Amino acid sequence: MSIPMPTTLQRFYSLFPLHMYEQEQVLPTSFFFSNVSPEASEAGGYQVEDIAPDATLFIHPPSNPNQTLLSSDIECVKWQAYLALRGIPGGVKVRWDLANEGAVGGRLPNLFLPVPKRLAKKEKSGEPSKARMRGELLEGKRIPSWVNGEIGKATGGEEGDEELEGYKDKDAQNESKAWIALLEGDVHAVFTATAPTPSILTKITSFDLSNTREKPILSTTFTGVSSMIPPFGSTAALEPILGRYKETIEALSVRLSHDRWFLGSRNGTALDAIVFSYLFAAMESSNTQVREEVCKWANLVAWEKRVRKMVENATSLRGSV
Amino acid sequence: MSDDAPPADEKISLYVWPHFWNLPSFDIESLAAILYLQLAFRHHNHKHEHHKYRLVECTDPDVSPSGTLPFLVHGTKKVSTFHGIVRYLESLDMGLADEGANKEGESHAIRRAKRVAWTSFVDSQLKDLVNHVLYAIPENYRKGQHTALVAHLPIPSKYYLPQRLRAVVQASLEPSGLWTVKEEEEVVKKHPFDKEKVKDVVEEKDSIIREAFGKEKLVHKARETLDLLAPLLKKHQHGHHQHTFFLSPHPTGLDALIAAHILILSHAPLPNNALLPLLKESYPAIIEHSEQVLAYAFPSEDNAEIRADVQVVQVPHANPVVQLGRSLGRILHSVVPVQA
Repeated sequence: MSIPMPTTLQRFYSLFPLHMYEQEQVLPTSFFFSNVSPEASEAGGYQVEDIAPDATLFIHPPSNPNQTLLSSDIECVKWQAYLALRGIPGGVKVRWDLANEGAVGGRLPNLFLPVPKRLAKKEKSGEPSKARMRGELLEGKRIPSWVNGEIGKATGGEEGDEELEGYKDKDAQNESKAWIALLEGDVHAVFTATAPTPSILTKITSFDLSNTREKPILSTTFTGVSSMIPPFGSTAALEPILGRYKETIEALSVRLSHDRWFLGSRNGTALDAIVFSYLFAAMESSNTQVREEVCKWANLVAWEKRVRKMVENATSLRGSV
Repeated sequence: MSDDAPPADEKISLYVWPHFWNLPSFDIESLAAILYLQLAFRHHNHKHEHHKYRLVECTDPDVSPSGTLPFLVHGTKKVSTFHGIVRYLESLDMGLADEGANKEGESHAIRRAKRVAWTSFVDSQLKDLVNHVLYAIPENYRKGQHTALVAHLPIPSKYYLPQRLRAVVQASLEPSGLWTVKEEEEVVKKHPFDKEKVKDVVEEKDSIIREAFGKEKLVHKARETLDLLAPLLKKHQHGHHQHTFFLSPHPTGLDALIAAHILILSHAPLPNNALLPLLKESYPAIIEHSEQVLAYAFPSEDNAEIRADVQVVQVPHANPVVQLGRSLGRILHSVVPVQA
């Protein structure tokens, strides 16, 4: 015996309607492997459109959505550029309605790979596609392995190419690791050190629940470390950090010289994506020293402009949710 | 604001952590700076440009403008961090020259750019590994860095400074997951009358397994890093001698930096060092290179005329009242903006 809800309460509750969103399809991976028949693999017929229809990247919102779709967070720009430069056909869609805390791994960006609708209907015969669409949300670290696998198969390159991840040879791949360490260490420190300090009001009213820790930059405490007062507070030691930054930008410019891509690769690689994201952030930075240092080197400015155009062309805003 | 370079006859003073074991310094960056200066000045003395410098053994990092040792003082100019020192010396033409093309025909500028990248790689990856061995393994820290620090520090600093320095290293190792110290491992039976703790057998097995996995993980990470550095080591022929250096035919800052890391690993008496057997077995060339750099920097008596001219001085640690005053001064300075 249920008591009917009084009408006043009903009217009150109607002010707060419940929205139901359509469930995103998530199918287990094994479903696809059983679908692939041996004849199909011999016949080939792997279609490029199967790779990533509607792949969507969740990012931090850009500083000015009307002008550019590139995020204001360096990590998100890195992955945007990586997906664009590695040549995901159809480009990458972006959306920014997810917060850091809701992302996989506690850190944006995340890549959402939806299940294509034609695969969801089992009655589609013809050639079973080899597409491995999973309906998954990948965190940053897992994106390269997905890209390497899919792009390698689509372009039909030899096994060696896939191993090298787009670099010219093994030496270049090794050297790229050194450059990546340089960028993510010394150059990243500059951005951390010169980030504008938030006002007291924003500090009080914002919650920062992120638990990802970054490597601390060179800094001194307010009281010094060897007196009896326990050390508290920290100020970044700007002079050594900026000095190293200048050295780094000069080295980048010399290494690039007149090549199309860093280290002479044929197409954009992960290193190019990371360099682009840091150069982009430097050009957008509010600190004049950081900006001017990059503007001094004409080849870097021209390269950044060219790559920015490429990445922006490949990125599009996802339609309304 | 014009920055006049100090006159050339002003002496350069390098402030470093003091010597211990049989190395000029027990700290990685200080040792790298000493090696660099020795190599550079020996190179210039060989060309009959006589340079002298003063090595100041200091135990108070607050003296430096960036709060870390090593740092260099030349007249009124103070430069800290190893990279800053190298940059400064090169700007004065007192650094290590690296001219000419190498075997691959790369120009001097490209080599310099590569060197910037590789020094940063060493600074992040190799330094983390060595810091893990030195600071994160309790018995290594007790017998190694802690002993070295405490030997030179006066009361009361010796009771709190080592822990603070260790906390700084901990903060830099935690993001990469290389800090694996558990607090209860640090408890050592202090009092002779303390009863032996009856450990659970399962707990002990767990800790043995954990330790073994930790070592495996460390060795695996070290292999990844050293596999990238080993191919950079190239042999060069100079007259009757054959030398091996990283990237260039001449010794550079990269050689000094890598040698400093390896020398500390091999000379410090660490009871639980998983990296040294790995180096001896799979990368003997790197150990040989580091010993070669040390021999180059500090040649034996018979090559006395091409040795660098160095005067060693010790700076006593400031007494607590002075330090307190200095700290209060820094707080006031940061709170009250000083009008230039």
